[in-house]
Amino acid sequence: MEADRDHRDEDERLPPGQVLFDEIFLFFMLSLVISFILYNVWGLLDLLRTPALVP
Amino acid sequence: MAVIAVPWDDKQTGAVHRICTATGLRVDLAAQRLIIANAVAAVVFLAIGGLFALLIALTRWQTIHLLPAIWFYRSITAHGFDMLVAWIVFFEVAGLYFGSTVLLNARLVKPRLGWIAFALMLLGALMVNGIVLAGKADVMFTAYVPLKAHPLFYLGLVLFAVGALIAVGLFFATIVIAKVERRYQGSLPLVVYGLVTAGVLATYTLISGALTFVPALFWSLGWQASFDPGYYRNLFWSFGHPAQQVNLAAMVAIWYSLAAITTGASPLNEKFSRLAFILYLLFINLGSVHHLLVDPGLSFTYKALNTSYAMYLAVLGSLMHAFSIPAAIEVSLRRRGYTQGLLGWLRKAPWREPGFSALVISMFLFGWMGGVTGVTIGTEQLNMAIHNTLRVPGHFHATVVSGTTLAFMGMTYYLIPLIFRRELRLKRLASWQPYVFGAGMSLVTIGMIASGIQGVSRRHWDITFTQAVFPASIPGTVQLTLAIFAIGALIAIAGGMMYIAVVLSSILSRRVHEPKAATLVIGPVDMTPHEHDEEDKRLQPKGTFVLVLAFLLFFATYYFANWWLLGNQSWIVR
Ligand code: HEM
Ligand SMILES: [Cu+2]
Repeated sequence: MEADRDHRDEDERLPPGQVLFDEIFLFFMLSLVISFILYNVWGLLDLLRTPALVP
Repeated sequence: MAVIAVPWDDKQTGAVHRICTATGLRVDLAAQRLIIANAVAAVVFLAIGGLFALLIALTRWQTIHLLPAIWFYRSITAHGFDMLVAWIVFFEVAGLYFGSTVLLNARLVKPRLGWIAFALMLLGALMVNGIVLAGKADVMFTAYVPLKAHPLFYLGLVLFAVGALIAVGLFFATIVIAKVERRYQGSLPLVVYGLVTAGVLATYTLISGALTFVPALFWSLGWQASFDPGYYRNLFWSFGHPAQQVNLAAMVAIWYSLAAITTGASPLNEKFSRLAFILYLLFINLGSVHHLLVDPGLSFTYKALNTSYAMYLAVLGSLMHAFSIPAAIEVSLRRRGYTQGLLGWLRKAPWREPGFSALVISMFLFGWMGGVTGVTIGTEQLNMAIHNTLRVPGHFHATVVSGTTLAFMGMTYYLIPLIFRRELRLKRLASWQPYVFGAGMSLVTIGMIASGIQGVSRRHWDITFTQAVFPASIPGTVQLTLAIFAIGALIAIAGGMMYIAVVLSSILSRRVHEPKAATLVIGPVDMTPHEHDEEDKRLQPKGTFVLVLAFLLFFATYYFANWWLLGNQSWIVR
């Protein structure tokens, strides 16, 4: 129990930058969203805008 | 076997671990078995891929030109898959299990899922190899539509991707549970942070893989009438490029570990190194567009924005690591008294320790050869002269082979005592191995790049285009550059065989060995992180600073030389 409280105190003293960097699932989300929008969606839109060759 | 197994303090989970005698780390036995299985599978596929490497290298050597055309394409397909997918991903999965359990002092949640993942990956990899060798999938590993392979080829890829995705899921679950069960305090260690980066990139990679190959499977089965080639390429490279960035992140994580194990280096500034990983997470996948620079149908803005402005932020991440790791090594060695001049520490470095030489050669070839050529070919205008020439494989044999593969080889040597619990055999061979492999791969990449500059096409059996309507203007000097490549290939293959000999003879020995130190050849190194004393001038990483400046100069020279070459070309179609 004693040790547990120590951990918590330690967590509270972390600098805000470190707390942000520890949010791995936030970066997980951002990574997927950025890649998906800028690469996949934009790419698909570009392709859809290309007129098909009419034989 | 004298396993000193201790049940985990938490009785409910049923997990059992042992304490490593060299590092004091707890090793979950379920994780240990999975790490061993995945690492062994990796090495087996490296050996198979290496056999194909020999065959295609001897075909590329014009004087020998070994294989007939059909077997050349078949072997390239198998080589690309076995190396880039099977060897690398099996090893990465082993690394993810290692990072999420041993380095976090934690247990692997749901080891059964790990075995299901392993079985799926193995089945998928065997399926792909089988169908390629049966001659039903001569499509190269990119399998660009409208090239069509047998459905089992795509099914194998999908099974492999699903298996790997399960393994990545298990990695994240293990990290979350480790936090909940308070197995570690504070932030994730930097190495695990790098592996998390790899895991995130892998998730996107594998989802993209499924999105690419499931429709391709349907198309091959005839259930889907057509598959637009442009769209396929867009989908494929949201698998193929990010897969390389998984390798990058995993490799950098291993660089940090090898630096710590072999020199006791600890990062000078953790924030700096973590920020570099975050830059990867946010921007590196956009670089995928550099594979599509010649594709019609995609706008200039899409190409230019993704491959330059966005991509350079990720390159910045690599430059940050490229400074941070050598600087950490330098400070650590200077601290031990090697403070002479600018590079005295480098001379005194543990060059016989295979993990150290593997680290340095991997970093050097990855950065100077791979990174520099990569940024160059990824530039829209320059790509016009480089696309589909042998310069492209020249570039990625510097990154994923000289860089990632060599780093993984170096890491294996340490897993043998720590995880396999066998003594490293053939130590002298192991000490030499990174040099032989590195020297061979340098010639391979130089030979490929030099041939590519002269116009040699990649993935082409007959580079002289004997039967083409237009005469190809390939100068006779390519005979020389291709011979340089091939001799390098033979040396590198010898280096690969040395690795396999060391690994097999060590892990097949029956005697369990309890290591006393993490190092293999040199004595134990103090690995406790130290405070960095910025005041002491003798401890400042001045040598690294000079090396970095030399690197940037080389980078600029190569890059602008390519613009100059481009400007010298006559672009008139006669
Ligand atoms: C001794 C080591 C190796 C040698 C001599 C070698 C040689 C070659 C050669 C000659 C090609 C065909 C180039 C062409 O004409 O297009 C090739 C392609 C390739 N190699 Fe390697 N290689 C080696 C190791 C590796 C490793 C370790 C990896 C991955 C980790 C790898 C990944 C690839 C890939 C992805 C391709 C492209 C396949 C394709 O175009 O579909 N190679 N290699
Ligand atoms: Cu790429």
